Amino acid sequence: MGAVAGVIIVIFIVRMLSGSIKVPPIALAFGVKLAVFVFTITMVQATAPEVASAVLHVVVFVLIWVPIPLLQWIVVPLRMPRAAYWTVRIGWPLGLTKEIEASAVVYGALALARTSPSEAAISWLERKLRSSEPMQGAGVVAAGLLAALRKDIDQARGLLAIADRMHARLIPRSMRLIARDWLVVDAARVGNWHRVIRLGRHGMTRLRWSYSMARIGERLTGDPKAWRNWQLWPCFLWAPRRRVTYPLFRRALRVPVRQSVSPDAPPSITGLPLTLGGFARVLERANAHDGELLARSIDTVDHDLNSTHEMIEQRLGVLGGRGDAGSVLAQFRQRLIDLVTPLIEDDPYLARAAQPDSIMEQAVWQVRRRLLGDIDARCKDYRERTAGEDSLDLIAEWEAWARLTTSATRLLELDSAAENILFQMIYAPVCNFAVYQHNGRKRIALAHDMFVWLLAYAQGAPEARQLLAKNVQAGIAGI
Amino acid sequence: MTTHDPLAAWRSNPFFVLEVPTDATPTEVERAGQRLLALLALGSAGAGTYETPLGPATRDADRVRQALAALRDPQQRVLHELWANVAPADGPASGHSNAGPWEEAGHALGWSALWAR
Repeated sequence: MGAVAGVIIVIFIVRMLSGSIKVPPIALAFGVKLAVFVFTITMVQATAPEVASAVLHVVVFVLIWVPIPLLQWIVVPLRMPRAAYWTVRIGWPLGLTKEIEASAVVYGALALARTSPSEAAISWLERKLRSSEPMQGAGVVAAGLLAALRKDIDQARGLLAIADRMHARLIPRSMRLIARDWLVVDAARVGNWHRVIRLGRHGMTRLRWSYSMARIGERLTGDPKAWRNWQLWPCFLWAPRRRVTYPLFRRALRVPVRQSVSPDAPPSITGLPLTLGGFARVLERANAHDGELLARSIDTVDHDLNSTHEMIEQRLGVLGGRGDAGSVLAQFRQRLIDLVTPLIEDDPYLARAAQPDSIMEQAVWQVRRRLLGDIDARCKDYRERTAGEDSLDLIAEWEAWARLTTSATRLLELDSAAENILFQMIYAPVCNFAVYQHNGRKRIALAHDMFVWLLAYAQGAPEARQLLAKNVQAGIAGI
Repeated sequence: MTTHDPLAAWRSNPFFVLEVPTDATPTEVERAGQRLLALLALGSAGAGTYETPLGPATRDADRVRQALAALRDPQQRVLHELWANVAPADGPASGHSNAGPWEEAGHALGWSALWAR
């Protein structure tokens, strides 16, 4: 009987290896784990004394069946990147079987982030990531965390944003959670609560902590639709990380819920020095993410500037200047634009508050021009590399794609009406490049992400939409 | 996301750098500039920093020379007078002060190294 079972198992393994039987990786991992577990327990019982046997039972059980809690509660907090990496490789967590090496790098990077990361440790993890194939969601999260460890925060933001919006078949939930949490913390640490709200409430997948943070953010920003205390409490209690989030939660509870969107009263005192003082305070970090306040403050300065025309003429006369007041005022307004532009570059969502023909709108146009130039250059690069069949290594390709999507997302945050222009610019070069990556380089996940992204903006182009939908389906079949 | 200082350029206003009032005469401006250059050349400890209505800032000899050059041009001088006449930023700005940064965010998640400078 045993011999028959053995023969059946051998036939099954041979047919599986030859490809005639396809087994999902998760089922394969489960089977292997079960076999290893049974074999190890049998060996331990046969050889080890009673106490040692019990200890080994526990060790084997934890390593094989619950490696993720072991990582999250013990290995990562103990700041052991290599141990974290090998725990994933050996433990083979069931949810991460598609990209086990990349997932191991993610946990290694998380352990490293808790300490002062050494160059050698980062390079070691990077080498491990480069040897991992295929590279899907976990690989992108790993590349993003490694970029963050190297202090390339923009690159990290771009990569982790890709991971956050990735198709569910390409990224395990636990990896999306890491990407989302990083993005939420990155926005919250500088007080960009509007971004926290967008991430937590409008992301493709709702995750408890980011959702709770979004609700807290609504309360902090005085959103009239913010939840009351009795609604906020259960949300907070349901989310993880309650102890560390509690001080922030308390801060949110102190903010009363407003009944309606009533703009803050404009400054009652006027005069350029005072309005400039108010503008300076708005520019400071604490309020820089409030677009409406920023726009009102700039408009007030602009308004008060008109009353200084005569005074400027007088001063120029006294100083013996040859210029006119109009030229001084134009330079003043240009400096105003120069001060606001970096803020809009950092948080394009601020631009939503710009009024037509205002100083802020001029700053918005400046940023818009720069972003369009950047996108155009990247599209040209894709066009040339498609024609020359020239491809970078997989991590570098994901990084290049992250840079393009970051610029495009910023442009759309800045001006949602730019969607059609953007699509016209990027459709042909990105689609052709994605086809080359799919057919020529077998980089299915990268190509699929490109098709999905393009499809989301192809509303006004039915033919392109049809083609992209077909390519997306082809990608899903290949994943 | 804001990681730079949005007021840095404003703090470099020539009147702030030279620590002279906006109604100072050209002679007073020159004298203040030369005095600062001499102090900086001697390595005076206090000469490298200055106070502005927007907070403290640092200066070097190059910045002092640039400030002097800017104030010699009448049109530039009037422009800088406008920017230098700013009420001190001591009161809270209107808006939602509770909506400020969550400084402990990175530490709270145990990811301090990711944002450390």
